[in-house]
Amino acid sequence: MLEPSLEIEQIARNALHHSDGSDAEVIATLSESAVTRFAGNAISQNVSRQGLAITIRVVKGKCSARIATNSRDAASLKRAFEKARTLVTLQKESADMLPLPNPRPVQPIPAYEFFTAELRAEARAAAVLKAISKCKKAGLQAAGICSTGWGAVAVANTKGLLVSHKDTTATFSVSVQTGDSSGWAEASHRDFGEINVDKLVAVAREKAEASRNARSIDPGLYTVVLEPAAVAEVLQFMGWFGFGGLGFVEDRTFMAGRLGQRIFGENITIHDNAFHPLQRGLPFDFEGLPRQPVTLIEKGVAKAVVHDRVTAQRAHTETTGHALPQPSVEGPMPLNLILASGESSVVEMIASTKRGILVTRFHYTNLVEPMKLVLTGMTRDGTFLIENGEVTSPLKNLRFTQSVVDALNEVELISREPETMLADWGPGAYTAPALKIRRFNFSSGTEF
Amino acid sequence: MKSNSLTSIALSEAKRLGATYADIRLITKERENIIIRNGNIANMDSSTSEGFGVRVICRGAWGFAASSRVEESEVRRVTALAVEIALASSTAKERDVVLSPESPAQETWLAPSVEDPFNVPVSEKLELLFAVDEVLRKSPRIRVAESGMRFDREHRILATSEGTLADQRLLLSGAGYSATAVDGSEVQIRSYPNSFGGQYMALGYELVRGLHLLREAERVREEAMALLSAKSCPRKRTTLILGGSQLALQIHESVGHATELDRVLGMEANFAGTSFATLEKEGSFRYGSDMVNLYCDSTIPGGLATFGFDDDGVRAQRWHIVKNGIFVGYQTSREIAGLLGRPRSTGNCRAEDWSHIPIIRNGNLSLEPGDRNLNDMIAEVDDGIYMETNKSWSIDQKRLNFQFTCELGREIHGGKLQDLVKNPTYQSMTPEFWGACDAIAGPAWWTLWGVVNCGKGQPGQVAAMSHGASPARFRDIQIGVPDKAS
Repeated sequence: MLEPSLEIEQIARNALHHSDGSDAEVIATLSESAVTRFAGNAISQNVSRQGLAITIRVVKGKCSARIATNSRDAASLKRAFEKARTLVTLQKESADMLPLPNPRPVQPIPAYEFFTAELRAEARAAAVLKAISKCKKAGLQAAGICSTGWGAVAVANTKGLLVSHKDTTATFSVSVQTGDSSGWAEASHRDFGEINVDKLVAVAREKAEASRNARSIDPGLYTVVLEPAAVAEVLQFMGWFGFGGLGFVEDRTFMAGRLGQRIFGENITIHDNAFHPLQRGLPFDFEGLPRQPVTLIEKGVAKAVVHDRVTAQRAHTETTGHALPQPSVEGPMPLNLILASGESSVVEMIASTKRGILVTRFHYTNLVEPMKLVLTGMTRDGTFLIENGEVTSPLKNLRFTQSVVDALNEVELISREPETMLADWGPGAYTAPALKIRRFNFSSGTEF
Repeated sequence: MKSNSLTSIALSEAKRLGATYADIRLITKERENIIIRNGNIANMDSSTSEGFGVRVICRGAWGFAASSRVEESEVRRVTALAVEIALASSTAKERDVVLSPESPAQETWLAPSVEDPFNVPVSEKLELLFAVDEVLRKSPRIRVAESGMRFDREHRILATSEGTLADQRLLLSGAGYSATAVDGSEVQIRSYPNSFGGQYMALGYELVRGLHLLREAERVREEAMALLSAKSCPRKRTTLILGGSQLALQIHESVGHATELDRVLGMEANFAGTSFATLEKEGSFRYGSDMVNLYCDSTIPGGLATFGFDDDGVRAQRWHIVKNGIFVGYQTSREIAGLLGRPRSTGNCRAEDWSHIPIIRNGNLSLEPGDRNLNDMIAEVDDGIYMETNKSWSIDQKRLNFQFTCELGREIHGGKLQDLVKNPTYQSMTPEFWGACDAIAGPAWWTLWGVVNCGKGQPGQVAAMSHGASPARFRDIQIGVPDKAS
């Protein structure tokens, strides 16, 4: 097998050979990933998959058509191009359609660790076994995943553009359950060797054991300390529903018409930056253009949203290199969000809180209203009452229904140490510190 | 190389390497996807994905590997990798995997349809969608008009070391649209016939023709705009009547996932969560009022989880989950049924595609229709609210506390539908909610609604299934969100 970047570039080039004189673009991805899943102190599922996806797009004037295949043989690629050339003639002209872009220099991101790419099932099982045995000895139940894998992506077009990127990813996630409580911890890194399984198990165990005999509390407004995983989830929704160029030009997000205005507290700064050392991302977008770092919020002031060429044209600005595969229904998306860190710590946040709630992470969060970014979701795997500067008791889980715009105007403290969480579905990495928020609305509770 | 040669190679190679059970799924999936957005073709996709997955049990533990290279040498490599993975699994097992018994079958199965959607010209599909788009965009306050169609066809071959050879051809058709109205700080959306893409069924293009997309476009546009100036949802406890498509999602979240037996046993504890519907509740727990009957049916025509056999090779079945309000059954796989010594799996084990391992998925879980007239159900309400079409959903990890927001609400006063309500929201606990059901509309209002975005598992898998429901009434339900929330 070829080195992944070379192989994916070759696949993309080979595909383009079938363009037969038409303007065309190819996005090719090749990956191998493995997940060892455990539950009830045993490996429950253990999978590996190798996958290839080749998407070709033929552009003719103001029309385009897209065909995807996972076959690299010449006959399949030829058929795909023939189909695309036929489909493109059936289309109506699209006002938003732009010609294929010319090549531009892309700064590479080193992100491939050979050891992680080559890790076998035996090594994953050994890591899992370590976690399981610690929990078993303590009479606890462990569940989680140990995943490793590599991926390579190339974008090429008939104007001579060809860019590629390869990376590796490793994730260890563990939930520890007692009879009536649970705790959780997770870490992800491009290098499996950097993940400290013992530490993760210790954190999850500590949270699970501290959560035994949780009590109910009345819903209402509370000061909260949100740990990084909870903040990262909020950040993900801000990316989906706030910082993209399409919603912005259509006036349907909290950023619309607000550039230059202060919309959050002065202590809030948010960037999108695939080059940040804690981030995992592509150095180019899905048209092959360089992905640029963008300051979205600076000291509470709305500064920018991310654009592709289509939304940039509508907003009379330049693309920031955030295109999804074109044409895109969702529009450009920030996939590498970073909420800037502060000077505090979770310990200091708790110590400075007279009465509040400490949240480990959220579960099943969803959008209620976009313009103030009202979200709802549940707490999970460790929710605690803070009284007079100390954690005094575990709490049964609570549902929050809260405007993020309002919440980010009430941030009192931000921690020094951020963590990066990967999106549960699709691409995206979110780097977030812990936050102490003065008022946060919990709207109902549950039985556990 | 022919598929039966490849399946034979995988099964014999697995046996040679020590597997006590093996199966291989060879799958080819084709999709056509068209989206029109604000007068432009925003998406015109045609995709084909082909590959295979090999699943083995060695030393009592599972291994699975998959590849998109459908060729003999790759089948041998992937089978060996599945065995290697199973042996690694066996180093951390609590007990041997035991599959519940199932008689081997050699059959073909074909999803019935009238008109192959892949034979309908693209130009005809575009003409209909552009016509809808034009009606939706007649007002400048509609900032986003989005309409689309999606068609999937899938050839799924399953061969097992027990002698099953199931050759199935599945089909999915879907269509729908939405209008998003914007006015200052207000954004409202209306969809037809359902949100998140529309209605989906295992039918041919006859589904699209039957939806009468163009006929409803004007109403949808006007309702989206009317919602901009509608009342906010009051916060109170009141009588709630839910439209059928919203109730379908309610069934999915609060009954479907709660009764997946892998969740109950903690297999999803790290991600999707567990369930309140624990083993001791089966057969006695009151899940809802007497009139609540929920059944799973993998044989129902048009269902997105309708098939001849699941990915365990278990033949399609129909069974009750809730009968006369009592919780009576789970959704299972052969592994989980075998673990509990049950005589047979219910046949809920499915994988998204060739690259994923089969896991327990919601089946076609439906609420049996009642015998009431919807108009009478409304007429009996002095003070209440009607809600339809889902906009937002969230439920806790044991499937108890949920909160849903719909696209449109209407106040009910004096037995009549009254003013429009925007962002109508309700929140409850699962048994309390189903226990408050006091009327269900009859078969004339019953529709089998498709859900195509159900996520579960690590790595994440998306599955499709259907839920049949007619509108139903629930007494004394919390609606609205606290003032301080927004």
